[in-house]
Amino acid sequence: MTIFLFYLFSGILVISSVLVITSKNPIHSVLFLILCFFNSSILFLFLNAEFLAMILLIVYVGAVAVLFLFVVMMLDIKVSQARKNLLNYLPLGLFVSFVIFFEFIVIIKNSKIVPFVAKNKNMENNLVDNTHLLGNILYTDFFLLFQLSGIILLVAMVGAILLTLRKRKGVKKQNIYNQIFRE
Amino acid sequence: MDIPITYYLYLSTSIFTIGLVGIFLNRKNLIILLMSIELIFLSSNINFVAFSHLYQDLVGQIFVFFVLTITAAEAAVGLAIIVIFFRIKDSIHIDDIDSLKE
Amino acid sequence: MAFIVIFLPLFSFFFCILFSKVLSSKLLSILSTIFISISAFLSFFLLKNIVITNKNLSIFIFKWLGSGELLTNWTITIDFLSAIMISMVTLISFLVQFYSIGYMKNDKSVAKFFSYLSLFTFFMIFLVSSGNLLQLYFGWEGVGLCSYLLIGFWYHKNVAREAALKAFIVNRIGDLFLVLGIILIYLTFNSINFNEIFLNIENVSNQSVKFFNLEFNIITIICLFLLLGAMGKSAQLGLHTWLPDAMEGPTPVSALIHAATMVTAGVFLICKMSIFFNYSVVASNIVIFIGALTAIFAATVAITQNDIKRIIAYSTCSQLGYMFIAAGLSLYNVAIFHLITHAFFKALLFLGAGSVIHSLHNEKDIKKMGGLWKKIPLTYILMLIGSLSLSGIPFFSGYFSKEIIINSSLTSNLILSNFVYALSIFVALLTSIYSFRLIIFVFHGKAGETSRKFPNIKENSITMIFPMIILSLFAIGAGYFFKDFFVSENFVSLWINSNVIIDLNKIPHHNFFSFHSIFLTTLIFFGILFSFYIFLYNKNTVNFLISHFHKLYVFFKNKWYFDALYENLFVKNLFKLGNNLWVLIDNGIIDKLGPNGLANITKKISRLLASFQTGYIYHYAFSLIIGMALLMTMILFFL
Repeated sequence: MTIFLFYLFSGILVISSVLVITSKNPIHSVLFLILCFFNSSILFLFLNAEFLAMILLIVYVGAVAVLFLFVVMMLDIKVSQARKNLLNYLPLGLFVSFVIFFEFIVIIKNSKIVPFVAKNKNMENNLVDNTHLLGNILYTDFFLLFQLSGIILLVAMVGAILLTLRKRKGVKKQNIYNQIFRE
Repeated sequence: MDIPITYYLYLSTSIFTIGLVGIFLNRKNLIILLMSIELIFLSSNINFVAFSHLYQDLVGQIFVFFVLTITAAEAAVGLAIIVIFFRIKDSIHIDDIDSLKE
Repeated sequence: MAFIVIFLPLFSFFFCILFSKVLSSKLLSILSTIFISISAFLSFFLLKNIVITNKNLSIFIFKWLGSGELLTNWTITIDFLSAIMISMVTLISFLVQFYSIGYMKNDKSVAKFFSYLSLFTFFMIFLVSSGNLLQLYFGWEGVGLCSYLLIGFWYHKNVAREAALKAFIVNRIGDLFLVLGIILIYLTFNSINFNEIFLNIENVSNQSVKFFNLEFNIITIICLFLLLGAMGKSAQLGLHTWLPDAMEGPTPVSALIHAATMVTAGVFLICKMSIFFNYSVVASNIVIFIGALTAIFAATVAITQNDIKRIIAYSTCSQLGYMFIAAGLSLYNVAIFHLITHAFFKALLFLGAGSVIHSLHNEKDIKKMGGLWKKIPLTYILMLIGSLSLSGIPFFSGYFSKEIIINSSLTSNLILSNFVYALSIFVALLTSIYSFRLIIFVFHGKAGETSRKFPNIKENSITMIFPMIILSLFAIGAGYFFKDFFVSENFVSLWINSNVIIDLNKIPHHNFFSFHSIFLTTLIFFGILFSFYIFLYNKNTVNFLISHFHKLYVFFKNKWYFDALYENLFVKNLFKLGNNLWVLIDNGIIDKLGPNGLANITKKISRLLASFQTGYIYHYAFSLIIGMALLMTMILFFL
């Protein structure tokens, strides 16, 4: 049963990711990307990673993908007219990509990974859930890295705001400084 | 009832390759390019989680956590760049982005 | 203490260079002089310590080179010989720097001048205090460099630049031989430390080398190489041409470098290696021969010159010839004696000449001077003292050292002794003639062209006169008071400790009333009177002499045609060769294939590469991915 579900979701995942890159309309692409994230979060659930599955949904679908969608819509991109040299690089791209793909396959085939590891019974029967465990180590062992990633997000936010901020003339705007020091 | 790790690896390899092909194939606009990169990140995340499950080691999931952070930051900054690029050039068609040459 | 003596000048050099923009040049020059004065002051204590304790001082600084068996350390090794030299060098450096405060007052780059002088002092001390030949060579090159920099100090003058270049190149010829000598010493002794080679000399004194199927004694060969090196530095006949030209530099430089210190480095080298020369009769004879020839050559040329500084320069050459004679006669202590006394009176003469030149607004031609003694009486008296000392009037310092050399040459049992005696007597006569010719032309007679042009010629400031007074005291008294250091039995052990061969038996007992002394003195007095007669009272005699010995006069006037010979033989041909090499090899082959060729190829390749830089972002992404694929393939299949 599980294997069937795995095939189902991973099939949808692959197909939708192909559609992400092939669809003409960028809005469709974003929507398919959202589908991808949904499917992969379901796959994460198979792997007992509930917290990450939820995070993926919240962060990716809720924030990143919506951001994509927002930008795509805001920018008013014309549905791309087919340019002549559209597929010039495709043969090369396909070739390189498949070389890499087959090399990955070779690596995976030749690797000596044991497909199943004897389960740690303690872990399995643990009443503590995944989120709890993750929190336990995230706020202890990886505390500094956690803080750092927060800083990275802050910097990214500041950068994004700074990049897109512009002063337009003729727009009525509140100037707090002047307001405070008004006579 | 468990799914062998290799299945996940094949899956993530496929998505990775699709992402790569997307970079090559995409001649339309930069946003698709960013999405291809998101796909590549996703494939790596699947790998991490799969191995984390295999070895019952939560550090893999922690890693995914940080990758998500970086991806979010990258997407935000990348999209901001695209927005101002559009503002300047009035297009984000990938063929119009050649000012690196100068 | 020795450490301070040596490194204070170096410190002063860096100080002057670093603060040349910050502090005023006047302050810098005074500070530099103070540094040197401290160094000079301490060096006397150093000398005193050495004399009292009779122990050589050796300070290890750090390891310099270690390559195979060649181990070289930076050391300060001070024995009696070095201590004397250091005291003399620092004292004269101090006086010259003191003098330069006044002399260079109006120059633009005073700080640079003082820094070079300090650097020179450092190198000179380093040279004389070295414990091995390589360090000596370092100092040797260092003083050469400073000499080059200081001769060309007024580099906007074409003549000065050429003179600097000439000095450097001619010195280089000598230095080459010095290097060969050092290499040969290393090959023979497996060491270049003085102590070790002097210890082992007994073992190798009979070794010989084959060269062109002829056998030569190895020591003789080494000595000849060293001699050639010394000849370059000490401006001996053949390699002397740079010294007169070097007078284009500022006069204090001439006084310090080209009279008192650097040019005597050659004599110092021969004395330092006296043990070697003692083993080789051939080399010693050649030293005497060279010295005698130089002495007569320079003296004859000096008589015919008109440039005040050049006359003194040729006189330096001639006196160096005396020192070589002394060294060749194995009277190394006497050579050093003459070196010291000569340093004082020659520095005095140069500074006096500088004072005259300064008063006359850079006039150097003695024919245009005249009648100056009333206007600058102090300079006149000081120059007179210098000239008397140079001529060798009794009780002046020059007399003692010169008299010993001349009389010793008579008593030595060398083949050349009579020839050398005759020559040196003759040179002594010529010396008195030319030095008083200079005095007469400059200070006596009618006022010359330039003297008339500047009616208000004044005596120079005290900063310039004071060092000259000190020097004049030394020029008067050094011979009498320092005589014991060099020729007394009380100090023999000191000389032996400094590895200098000393044999007091060769030196005839000094007696003012011996026949030879009286003969010499009379001759010198005669020379002085003669020059007064012909140059001041009866000028027709000069014309008569010139017309009768016209060919000889022209020969002397043209400096024995050495410069012309070198010009035609070497310089022009070298220029031609250089030009051909430049056109054919440099431009034709090396540049075409080398820089230009490479540049062209680079240009082409970069054009090609630039076409890859399309500016399209996806092209970069492609290359990134392709690179990744290649890397993966490589790792997977080839590693």
